[in-house]
Amino acid sequence: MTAPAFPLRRDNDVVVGMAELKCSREPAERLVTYALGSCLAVAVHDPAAGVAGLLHVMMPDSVIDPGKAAANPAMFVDTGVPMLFKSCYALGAKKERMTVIVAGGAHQGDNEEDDRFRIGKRNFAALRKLLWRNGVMIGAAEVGGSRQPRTLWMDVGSGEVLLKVNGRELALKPAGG
Amino acid sequence: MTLTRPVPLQLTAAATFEDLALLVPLDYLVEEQRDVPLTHGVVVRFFGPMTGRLELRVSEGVTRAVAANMLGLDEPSEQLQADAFGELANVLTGNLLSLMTHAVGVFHLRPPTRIGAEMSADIPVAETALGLEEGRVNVRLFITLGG
Amino acid sequence: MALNVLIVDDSAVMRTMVLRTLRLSGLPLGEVHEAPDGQAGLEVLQAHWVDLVLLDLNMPRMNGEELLGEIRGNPETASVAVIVVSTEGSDARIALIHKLGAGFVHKPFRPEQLRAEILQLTGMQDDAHETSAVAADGSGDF
Repeated sequence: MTAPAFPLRRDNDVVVGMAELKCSREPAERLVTYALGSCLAVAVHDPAAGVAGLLHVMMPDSVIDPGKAAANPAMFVDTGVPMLFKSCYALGAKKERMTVIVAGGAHQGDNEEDDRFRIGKRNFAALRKLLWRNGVMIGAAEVGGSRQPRTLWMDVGSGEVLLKVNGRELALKPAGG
Repeated sequence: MTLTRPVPLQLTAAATFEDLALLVPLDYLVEEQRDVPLTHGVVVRFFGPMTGRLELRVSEGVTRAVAANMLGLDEPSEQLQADAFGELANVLTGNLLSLMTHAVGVFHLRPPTRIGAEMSADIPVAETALGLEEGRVNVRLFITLGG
Repeated sequence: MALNVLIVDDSAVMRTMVLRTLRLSGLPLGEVHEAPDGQAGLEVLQAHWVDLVLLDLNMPRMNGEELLGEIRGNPETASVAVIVVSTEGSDARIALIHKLGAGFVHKPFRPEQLRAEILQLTGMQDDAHETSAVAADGSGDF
């Protein structure tokens, strides 16, 4: 397989902002999210249905503000991730075929010890907890580390994921595939 | 065998809670956590280059969260909670001993045993407290031979 | 071909975690046996055909190292796939495990790490990404 071309911007890029999620089954589209720090990008893909979804989630647990979670479920892991999967099901995706790729969850500050609230770690732990409970494995993850904004692209047609961290590009492929 | 670096008790305990039980501890206690009573205790005794024990105590609700997260269940039974809590102590002890002896020493760990929540007067070689949303954690390491 | 599996660990919760990971790994599972110590594991191996053993080290009665020795010492079980799942950190002990032809996964493990080791050791591929997603008690969120 040749490496996919990932120009920085394309006309058919669908941008997923902070605390947003988007799903697509347009094979020519690319879902993209920018500036991931302690937030997590959760990118899912069903190759058989040609459906992709991308969530940019900020906080681990909606228990701190159920009102906000009701207004915008994509803000929290425990409300955003179920919504991501259900939105993809609505486009024809099936859970047992879906692959999951995760990026982000960095710590604030230069040292992990300085990050008093550990939001990045708690986001990833909350995600792992939810996926484990629901019988879904993570295909690939690029999480943690010091604050270094990450950008993630997912190609809707192929499900290929490219991550850009500090100018370095990295292709993420689900394990076993 | 002598310890050639500080006991990384706090880091190992926090990493074990995070990796095994999907709970991310904070290395400080907020005001309301400090006085929460410890209600469950477990001890893991070990033999090898050093002999001693690790005592893990937690407040009410932590064992339920640990078991629920490990199993992916909402309401784990009392028996599963005790088992999960014991396994957490076991994994913590095994990893801690490896770190302390630079992956050289071979240790034998006894199965985890339930202990009371109140602490003995023995002086631990290391002790740490962690704060969780679900309550608090106390870990004490005792070395009686070697070290 | 379905894989018959034996999980040996003195923690019932850990055995459940290992089994859940196996189910999520998309492996074709046949019979699943569990044992709380090496001696009980050996008894299962004497009575049943097993293709894959997942083995803890620190256990009462007979530890995992002793059981691994028994497995490799018996011509009937010598070629069974074994993965040791343990907190063991001693380089020498891990080298011995590898020398006995067993895989090693460090506890605590992420399910994805255990899956990778299983797929590698059994030579199976999770090629269709088809997993038997489990909502064990109907408590699933999605």
